[in-house]
Amino acid sequence: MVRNQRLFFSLLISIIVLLPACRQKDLPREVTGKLILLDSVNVPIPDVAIESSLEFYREEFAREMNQVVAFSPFAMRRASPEGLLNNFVADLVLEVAGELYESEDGQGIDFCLLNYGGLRANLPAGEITRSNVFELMPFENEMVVLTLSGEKTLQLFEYVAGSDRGMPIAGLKIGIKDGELGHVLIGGQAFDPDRNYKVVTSDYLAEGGDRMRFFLDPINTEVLGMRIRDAIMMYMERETASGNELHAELDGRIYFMD
Amino acid sequence: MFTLSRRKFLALAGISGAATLSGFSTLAAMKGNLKRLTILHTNDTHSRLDPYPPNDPNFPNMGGYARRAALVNYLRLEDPELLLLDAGDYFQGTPYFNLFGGEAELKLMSQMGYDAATVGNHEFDNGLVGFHNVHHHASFPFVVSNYDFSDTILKDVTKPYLVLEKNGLKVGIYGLGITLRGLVAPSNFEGLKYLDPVEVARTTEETLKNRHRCQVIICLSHLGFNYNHDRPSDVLVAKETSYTDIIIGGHTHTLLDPPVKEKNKLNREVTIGQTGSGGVRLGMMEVLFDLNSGEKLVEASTTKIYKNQGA
Repeated sequence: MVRNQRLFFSLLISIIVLLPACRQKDLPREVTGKLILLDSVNVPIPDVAIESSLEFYREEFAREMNQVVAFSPFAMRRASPEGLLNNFVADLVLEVAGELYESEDGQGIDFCLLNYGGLRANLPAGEITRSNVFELMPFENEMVVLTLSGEKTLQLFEYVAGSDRGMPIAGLKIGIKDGELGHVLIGGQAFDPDRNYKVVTSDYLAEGGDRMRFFLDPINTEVLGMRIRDAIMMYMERETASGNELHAELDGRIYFMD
Repeated sequence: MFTLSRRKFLALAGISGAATLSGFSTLAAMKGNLKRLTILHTNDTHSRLDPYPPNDPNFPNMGGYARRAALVNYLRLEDPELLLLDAGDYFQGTPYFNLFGGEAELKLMSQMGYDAATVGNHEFDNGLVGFHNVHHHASFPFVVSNYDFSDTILKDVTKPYLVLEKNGLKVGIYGLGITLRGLVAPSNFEGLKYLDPVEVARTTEETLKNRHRCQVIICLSHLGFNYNHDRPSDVLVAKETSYTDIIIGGHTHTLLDPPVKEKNKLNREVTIGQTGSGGVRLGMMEVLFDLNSGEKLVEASTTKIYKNQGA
């Protein structure tokens, strides 16, 4: 109703002010425009031909994507400085990567860093379908383990502390003081600038995505051969097979210091 | 009688008044010496083949390819030669893309009768190879002027510009892509040479204007609407060019309703449009071109909305 009134009004105004202006032969065009909301009021009947072409894809979608893989007692959302979804994904990636990783020097993976922007959808409460997992992590990114110098590792902590978006981390506890790195623990231990650290992340970030320049030119890069999405799917299916609901908590792994 | 038959169809199709061409053009059409170009546009539709689900907090039951097609087909009854354009990122966002790699989006956009689309950064989420694997499902051309694919598998797959004739008007269309560095993994665009969008815009519009004698020049852009630093954007391209009339934008998911006007290098108006994201809205522009008198028509401005659409 309101929309129609507004439309009538703007129509009326535009007719009133249609004015002949000065003659400008070299400027013969006028451009007007608007956006039309594609809802059931403006377009109540969808196109039949497109609907029928969609049928094939919808059936395939239902077969592939509607399968329930897990149950979550609560919704998980991404948030800053930490969120249930941030923690859930980072924790499981660290866990699955730790199982897959065969260390050549005996040193295991120290921690996990992913990116906030890479969490593309929240997880609902209740049944989690394959579709939910694909929407959370639609990209084909793989898990990689990078060995970083102490110096680069410190830059990484400073990046996490300085970011206004909550970066998904696991195996770390980071205190932010005045927007900068105030305190850090790695696996409960103090940071040692003289040693190397191993971090699991995505190949996208490892190539410097999201301006994570500290990942460029690492001491070593090891590919685990599994996509992050597949790690999430595997973890969920395993939890379900063990009779567990999904679990995540806020534990202050990124916190503001007084 | 024009208006009457339209009303009749309206009632039959159940399409409301909000979705019709403006009164402006009806009046213009009566004058006879005016030519009209209708442009319908989308951007960042992100694999939203179906409407958003009923429980979506922002756009419940909105959008979807079939609904867009119904409106486009309806508007074609009034202007059979209208242009249907997309400013990129039709790929990625729902599992349809994961399952079919973009085949569904391109087939359905073709069925809907798109005239052209540029390429967004998400078109390369499966690499140049991923795009190459599905591009033949599109019956419309991919237009991008500042990506040099000549050393890649996509050589000859895209066009630097198009010249079309619509309603007796010669229309030039070129495309501008965003730098993929930082947005796409480097291995996914290896070999692509990125050219400066503003420089390319200037040389391409020059070609369209002087060599092809285009009367309307449209830029399909995936640069993004505006930035507070001097990164290339639609506003920057508008200010730095001379013959581009319209920029159909994308990438920043910005809602521009009505479209924004910027002054170009010759102090003439450039119109910039963008429709948010997810295919929730269809953009519509009308260009009036007076062949005889050069009489200028002025339309009242309405409330401007400058914001980024959520989700």
